[in-house]
Amino acid sequence: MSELIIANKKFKSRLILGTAKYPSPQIMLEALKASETEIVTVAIRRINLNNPSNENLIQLLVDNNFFIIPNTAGCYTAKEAILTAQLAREALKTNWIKLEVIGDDETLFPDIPELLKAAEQLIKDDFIVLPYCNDDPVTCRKLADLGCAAIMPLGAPIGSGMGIRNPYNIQIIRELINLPLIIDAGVGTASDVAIAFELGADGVLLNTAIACAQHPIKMAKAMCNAAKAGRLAFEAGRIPKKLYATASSPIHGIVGRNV
Amino acid sequence: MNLIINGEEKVINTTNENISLEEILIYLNVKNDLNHIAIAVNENVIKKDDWNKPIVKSGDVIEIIHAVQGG
Repeated sequence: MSELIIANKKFKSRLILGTAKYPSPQIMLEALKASETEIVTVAIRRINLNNPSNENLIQLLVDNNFFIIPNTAGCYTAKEAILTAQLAREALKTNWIKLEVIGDDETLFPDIPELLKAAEQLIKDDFIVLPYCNDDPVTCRKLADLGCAAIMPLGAPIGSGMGIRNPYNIQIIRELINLPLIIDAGVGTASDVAIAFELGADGVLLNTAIACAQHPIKMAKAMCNAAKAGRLAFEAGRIPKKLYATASSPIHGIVGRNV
Repeated sequence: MNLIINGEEKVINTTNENISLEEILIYLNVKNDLNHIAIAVNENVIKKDDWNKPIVKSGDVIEIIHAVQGG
């Protein structure tokens, strides 16, 4: 299977995993390993002044050789997202950022004008921007034109587990965008991952579907296998869909039939 | 010295007009790995090399962040 390349950096795994919602740090770590992912995402938050903690998530991830991408989850304006990205760069010494600018509490759909504004500013500031966006081809093209390193349209609302709701848009985006296409959010189970890759996605970013599964480590392995199967199927090239049947066995020499 | 730190009003007992971010971290008893936290003062990220400089004055708004599990 070919490698995933983002901003000239090569990855063997095409899965990107979030680190949230796991029952424990140990299960998180085992699930991440079972998925064979190399890239993980983390959020940026204020430290709790009233309950100082010496937990060190980053050291745990670094010690296990994961490539860490911070996100701007929870930001509702370009201004918030830009400051969060700048803080993340200073804290984690990376200029990679998974850019999220949320526009609505209930759906967690992105605010596209604010997202575009933030992406433009961060790219000027030498960030490698991976924007979470909706599955609108026009938005994806605008983000690509700005210089984003990848485009990350949602498959379905974050944490919904509904799978790829608009495969036709994903196909159009695939044809329009000559950048890594990563389906971000909405995955519920392994078949959703396989479908994303069969549609031509270069990667899938997921979190809840593994972390909140009854058996996160087993689900992580399932996602890993689905990613490999889906990508291989895409690279192999599927047969065209047809309305009517075509026999697989020879039509000549059928017993008892006069030709 | 009155500051807003991570959205909370804090009063730092000092006679100095300016103090450093290092002094604030000690005052707050921050136990996090300092290699993996970042600080902004009035929306400007302050590099670690400058944490020992007396740049904080009364009325400043300070954000101290770290990475947490996220998606």
